[in-house]
Amino acid sequence: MKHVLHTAQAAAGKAAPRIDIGRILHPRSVAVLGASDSIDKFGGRIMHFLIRHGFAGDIYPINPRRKEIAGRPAFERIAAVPAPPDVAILAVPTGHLVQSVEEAAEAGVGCAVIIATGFAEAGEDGEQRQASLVRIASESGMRIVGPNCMGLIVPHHRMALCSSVVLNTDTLGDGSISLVSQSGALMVSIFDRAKTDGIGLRYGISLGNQSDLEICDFLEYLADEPETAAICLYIEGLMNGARFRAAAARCRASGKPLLAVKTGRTEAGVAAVRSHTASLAGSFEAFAAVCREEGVVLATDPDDMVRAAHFLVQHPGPRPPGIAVISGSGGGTGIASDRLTELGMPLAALSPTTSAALEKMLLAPQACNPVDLGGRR
Amino acid sequence: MLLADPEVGSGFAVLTSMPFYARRAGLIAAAARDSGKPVAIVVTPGAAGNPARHAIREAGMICFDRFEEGLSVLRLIADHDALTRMPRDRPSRPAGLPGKAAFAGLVPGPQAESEVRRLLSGYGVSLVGTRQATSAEEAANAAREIGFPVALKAVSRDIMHKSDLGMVRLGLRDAAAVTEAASEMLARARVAIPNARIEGFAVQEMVRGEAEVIVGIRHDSEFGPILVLGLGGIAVEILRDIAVAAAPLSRTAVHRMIAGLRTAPLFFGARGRPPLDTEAIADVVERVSWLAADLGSRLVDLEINPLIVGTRGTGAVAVDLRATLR
Repeated sequence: MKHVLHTAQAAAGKAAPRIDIGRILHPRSVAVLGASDSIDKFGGRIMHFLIRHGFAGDIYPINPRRKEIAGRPAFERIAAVPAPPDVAILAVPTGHLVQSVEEAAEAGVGCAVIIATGFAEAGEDGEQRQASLVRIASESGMRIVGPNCMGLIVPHHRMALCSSVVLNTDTLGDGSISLVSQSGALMVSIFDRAKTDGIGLRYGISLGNQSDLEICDFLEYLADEPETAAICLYIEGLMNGARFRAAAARCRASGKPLLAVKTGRTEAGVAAVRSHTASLAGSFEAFAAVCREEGVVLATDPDDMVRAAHFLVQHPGPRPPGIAVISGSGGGTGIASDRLTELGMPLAALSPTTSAALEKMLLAPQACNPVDLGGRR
Repeated sequence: MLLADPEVGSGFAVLTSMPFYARRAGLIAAAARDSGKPVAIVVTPGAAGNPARHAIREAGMICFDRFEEGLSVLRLIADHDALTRMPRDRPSRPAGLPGKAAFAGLVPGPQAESEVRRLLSGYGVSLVGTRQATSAEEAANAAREIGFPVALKAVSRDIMHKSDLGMVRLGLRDAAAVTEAASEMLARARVAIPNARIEGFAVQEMVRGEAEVIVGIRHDSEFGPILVLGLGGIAVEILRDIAVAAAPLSRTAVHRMIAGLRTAPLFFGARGRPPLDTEAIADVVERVSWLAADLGSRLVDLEINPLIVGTRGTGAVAVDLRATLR
């Protein structure tokens, strides 16, 4: 996914936002443009998952060729729904999209969630299409999530506003870790992996091209939301470094672990390198330096990031750095000890009481850290 | 019991196969869960480990499949703990820095070294004694006034990596050596970069120190001034051992940067060598970081390489300087 900056935020004459982030994440009504009965289609799966996971608000399927979808009355046009929906998700082809977004804005929709691809990530034509979306958002005050995203999953609001097959489950789980991801496919993969690990997420938010709403809009909300205990981010590009830094500082001040995976580590620092400084500290190093200063934990693997967040929520610390190693085999303790030492993580020096107690169960050479359960008395 | 030890902050359990695998895995997972500490439990076998995996998840614990996954998560927890312990210090502006007036007149583009010298000395950075000369003869005279040995450098905004092109000569012992080196430089420059403007020569006293350090700073479009610090001279490209931080910086933060380098022992006196004047380094870095903050987006980059650092209490002197503004 190509990351593209835009300047619309700075444009003058911007209309006030119709709804805030809290309402976007907890809408009272949702319209599905391009709704269908067929779960082979995006619009069909979105309807199916919204209903299957028990979304409690109003659902308005929009489809000019149907009277009824999934047992609910369908509307010919977004303008025909009885009250402007908080959120509209658009499962319509890229070619019709700008027009649909315009109609949604005219109908008073609070926020459009746009799944379609073919925007700023797809060359010049796409960039122009995205610029049209941004203009509509800025003139109307309707917010936009996406395009090129997978939507939103909010288990505690029983809202699966997303077409991914990972939602083909009985439950969504729930928890206190909130996930914001630029990549949609990665968001649902992380969501499902976490669920398999027994880790419920509070939100799975995918943002795609960040044409209007960007990572920091959600990060600021989550930093202040008491029910969010930790935040995990997957970032390709930030729209505003200073804003990110301030939001990270807010997380730190409220004691919320903030973890991030960011791509672009291997990009050449600066195209034309005039100085050592530019070649030694490119844009990733700058990001990493700011993360260090603001207490953001940088991970390389998104699933490890969520697992670490889970432990940090359960056990906020502080804790001593020492690690206890236990294994059923000398091979297990050997590899574990070597790797921990290589990574700069110390094995805990056990207190005499613990050692004495271990000696009652284990042969003397094993009665210390690392503990080899193979050496039993 | 092992996990209850107060010295233990977290645990790493590697469950290779064992008798009563699933039952014992479940018991270990329950003990881990109730320990109040993060414990990464790894089940290493393939399909034979599935009952144990099930038992661990039933106990409410995450089950890892490989050593490295468990280690990676423990490492992230350790990183978090280290970041949380790190004190936050708000850098405060040292007294007597000139501010915007110091660079109001500078034009965009690569700056002459004399301009960079003026800028840095205004911000209180000690600079090596230098005289400018416009010809080989003038250079020789300047060298006599400074006293031998001297260093000679060609002055040109068009040549970035001067030492690569033989445009820096050190330890010249008499006037004849200076004249000869200057003539050679002019000849070489004509061959290597025919269009390069050679504005003259800088004659500098030879500074003796214990180490060469690089202090560089560039304006990042996302995060503003970003400073790098490490062993400098020609070692910088080879070692690539650099600490990076957002400016402005407090002296305490600079000391932390130095302590985090792989080469930190060389700063603190490894193997009987005297420790470097890290306080002087911190002073220079702090001042440069405020200069960059004051320059804001006018700064492209600025580099001191080398900053020659003496033993503790003897100071640090900036030798080669370059800066580009926009």
